[in-house]
Amino acid sequence: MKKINKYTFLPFIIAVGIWQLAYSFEWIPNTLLPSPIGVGNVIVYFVAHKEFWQDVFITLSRVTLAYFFSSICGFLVGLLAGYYKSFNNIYTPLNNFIRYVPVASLIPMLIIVAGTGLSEKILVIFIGTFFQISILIRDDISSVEEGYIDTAKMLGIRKNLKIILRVIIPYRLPYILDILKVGFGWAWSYVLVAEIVGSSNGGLGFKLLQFQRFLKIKEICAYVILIGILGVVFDFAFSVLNKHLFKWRLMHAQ
Amino acid sequence: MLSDSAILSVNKITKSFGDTCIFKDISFELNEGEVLSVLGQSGVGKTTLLRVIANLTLPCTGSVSIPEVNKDKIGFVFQNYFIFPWLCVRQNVEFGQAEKNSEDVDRILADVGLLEYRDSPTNNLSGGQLQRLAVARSMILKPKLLLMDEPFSDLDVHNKSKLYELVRGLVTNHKMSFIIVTHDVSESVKISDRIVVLSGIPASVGNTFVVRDFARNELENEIIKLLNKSHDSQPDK
Repeated sequence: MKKINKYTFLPFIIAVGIWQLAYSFEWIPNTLLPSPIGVGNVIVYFVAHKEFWQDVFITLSRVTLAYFFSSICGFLVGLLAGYYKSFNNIYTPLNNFIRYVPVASLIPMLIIVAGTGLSEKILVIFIGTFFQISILIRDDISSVEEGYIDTAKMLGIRKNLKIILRVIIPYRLPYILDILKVGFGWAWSYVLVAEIVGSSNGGLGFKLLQFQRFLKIKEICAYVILIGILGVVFDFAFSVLNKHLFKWRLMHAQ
Repeated sequence: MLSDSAILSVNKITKSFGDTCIFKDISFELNEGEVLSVLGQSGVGKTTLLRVIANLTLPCTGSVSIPEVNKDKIGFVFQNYFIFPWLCVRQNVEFGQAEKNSEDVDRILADVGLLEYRDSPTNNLSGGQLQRLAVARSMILKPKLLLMDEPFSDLDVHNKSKLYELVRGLVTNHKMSFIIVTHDVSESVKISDRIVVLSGIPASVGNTFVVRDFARNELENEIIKLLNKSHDSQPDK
């Protein structure tokens, strides 16, 4: 986990500076691009009101539920494909195909099959993340040097299940958590797509769509920025968790 | 068939990967309390030979005979040690043992000079200490035979001499036998009782030397000559 330094905020300051210039000199008409201060005020307003947090809660519940299933399945399938070559030979061609089908292109069919409720959102997030996560975990597991497995065998652990439980998983878990962190970023994007396209019952994406209908540009900008900030918070939480659960890994990398 | 004093017999083993034969018809015996080095150029399949002896891979033809009582008494110290980084020193030594006997662990760690690091994470250890931990980890099996893959490659002079003392101590105190594969001629002459030189393509046993029958320099020259001959006979790649 990288520490915050004096350059961390520099790109943000530059971006806001350019934004302010674009607003002041009307490079983009003010009706389409609100001022940073105006958007800042709206952000403060949202953060202070529970309506925004209700949207966060709804979206977060959806993404957590879907990503829970997706990461468990992705972990198990990735583990099997990484450890057993024969399973990998069957799974990878299918995965290669599905990974290149954009999830957005499946949404019309998912809405027909699952409606616009929770199931549709779960399916969008699941399909969007499962195939990516499983292939990354497969790559990570298959990178374990044979020597670790040979060592376990020499020390009396000869059954594959035991090798997986006692060597492969403990060794790779911190790296798998990194993959799940990246995957959560995708899940966060897909839940918003699913909410924008097919939601009728709240959430950040749904609210963005409402703002768009009433041309509330300031509110749209504020929500987009808040969604980004939430993403950074989740990313930070994953890193802190990894750091505390797997101290050996930081030392191992030294 | 094993002779009376032998604890292991390698009988005409051949190993190929695909169409490429790595080594063929390799035979030798190992006696109790003996340190045997297998010397050869890189790529002659020395590590594969150890993996065959350890039953981690099967030979294409031939067999490895080990008395039944010693079948589970083979330790293996891999070239990169493969110490489990998520476990501390003690947990590495205990790994795989159904019954954890802390007295045994402490005694073994004392034998290899790592007792003071018992509860340390392994990242604090130097290359030589990691190697001794790998030896300690094998020792928990109370092995009769320890296989070591290129044990000198990452060690400085001080750690080489510590390894030499450790191996000799284990031979004297525990009657253990060693098979050490290496390409380091002078270290193998220093540490071994007997040296098997692999040469040719595919590799086979070029010659076997009993170390005490030779003066050290003379033996080193003899082995280097044999290895060079083998090297010169290789086709240009």
